[in-house]
Amino acid sequence: MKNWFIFILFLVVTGFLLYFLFFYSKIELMNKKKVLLEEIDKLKKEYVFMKFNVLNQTEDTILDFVLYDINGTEVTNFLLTNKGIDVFVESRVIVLKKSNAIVLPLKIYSEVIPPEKGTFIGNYYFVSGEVLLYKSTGRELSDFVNNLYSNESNIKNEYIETSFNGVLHTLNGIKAGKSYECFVHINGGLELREVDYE
Amino acid sequence: MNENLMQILKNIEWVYLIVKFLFFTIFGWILIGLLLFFIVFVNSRNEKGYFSLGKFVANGIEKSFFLFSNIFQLIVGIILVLALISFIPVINEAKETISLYKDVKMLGAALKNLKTERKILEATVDFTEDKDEIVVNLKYFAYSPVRNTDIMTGEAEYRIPGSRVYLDSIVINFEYSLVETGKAMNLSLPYKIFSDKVSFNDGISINSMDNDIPLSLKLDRDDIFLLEKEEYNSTIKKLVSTLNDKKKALKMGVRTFYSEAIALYPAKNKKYTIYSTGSGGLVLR
Repeated sequence: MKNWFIFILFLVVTGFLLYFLFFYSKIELMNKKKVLLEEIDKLKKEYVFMKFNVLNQTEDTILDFVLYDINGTEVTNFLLTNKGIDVFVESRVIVLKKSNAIVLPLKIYSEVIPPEKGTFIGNYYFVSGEVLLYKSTGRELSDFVNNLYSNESNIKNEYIETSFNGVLHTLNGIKAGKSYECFVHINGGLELREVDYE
Repeated sequence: MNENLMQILKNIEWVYLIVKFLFFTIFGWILIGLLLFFIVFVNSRNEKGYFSLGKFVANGIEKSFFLFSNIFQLIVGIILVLALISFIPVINEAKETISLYKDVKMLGAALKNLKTERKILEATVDFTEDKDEIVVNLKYFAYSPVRNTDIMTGEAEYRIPGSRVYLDSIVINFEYSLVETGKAMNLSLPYKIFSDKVSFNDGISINSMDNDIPLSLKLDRDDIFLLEKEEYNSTIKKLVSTLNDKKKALKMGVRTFYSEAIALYPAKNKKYTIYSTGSGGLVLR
């Protein structure tokens, strides 16, 4: 009788201990899973900062550019005429230590126009001392980007992981009637893709 | 190991479900009562094979007495079942924990693959003595899955007029799902250099090849997993040839393919390193 009682008590106590062990492991794993999913989503997030439509492609190419802020809202659009069959978009990419990348489109040129003769496009989004592309991000980041745009070398290195100028262009040239999107990942990787004309 | 444990837990759950139905549901007790009634009824026939009420009552009393005389064993049995029931939440928690552990392990690997940065080029950039040209020294790298590191596959020097140089590469990014599961790795093939003064068309090719294989993908026999070197080389050639065919590229799981150039400024004793990233695109460090 006593042995039976001890055996059953042992089973119940073991059951409770195992239950709490698994319960707390589960909570720990659930939190870990949530953090991992958030990090993966962040890495896969594509911030489209520019889109251009190829309106006409005869001797000169007529392009309709649209610039977007970080929330995907259109900030400005402008038309440019470019020579050649491809478009080169040069942007300043600044990767912050807080796992975030800032991208500032700088110049447009082509396979026949060297960078020094490219068209500067900063004035389309830098208005009255403000970078419109990051205006909606909150005071702290917005002020940081405004200072960065005006004088990057004055920004302390402690905030910046790396910075470089990246140039996106197609492999085989752009096509009339097509649209192209330029986007950036939080680690500073730039990408270009052809999209359906809207 | 986890699969075996899951199977054991599944079997225990079956036993629990049967016991639970028989002893802890009204239908279970009805079934036990019916069985008891059937046993007593079958054993209640006289010598001629006819049903005997006297025998039925006697049998019923006998079985009931048997039940009461074994009540201790019955109680112990019920307590054991209760103990077993107390293990059911444990089993469920264990199952959920094991499944979560698998998810976390898989997501950890996916994150690692997306965060991976593979070295493509190492460059030093400086002016010539008369400052007329820029001298670019390039070291090419390829990823060796055997050594799990980037190995140098070649070196070359180029000269170009200007005050900053652009290293242009073809970038091939695969679907996120393929990168996450490790089935594909984003690629980058150095293609051309141009400068602030020299346009892309007038630039210099840096698409160095060895036996038709770009240096960024060139691997020796010892650095190749599973495939024979000839097989690996033919796969690479096939991949490079699909770059002009959007449909074929999409079929291979390519998400985006384009060109990206990184600008480098001449600086003494400065080493630039260009990486291809797991999430897509290039970064300079």
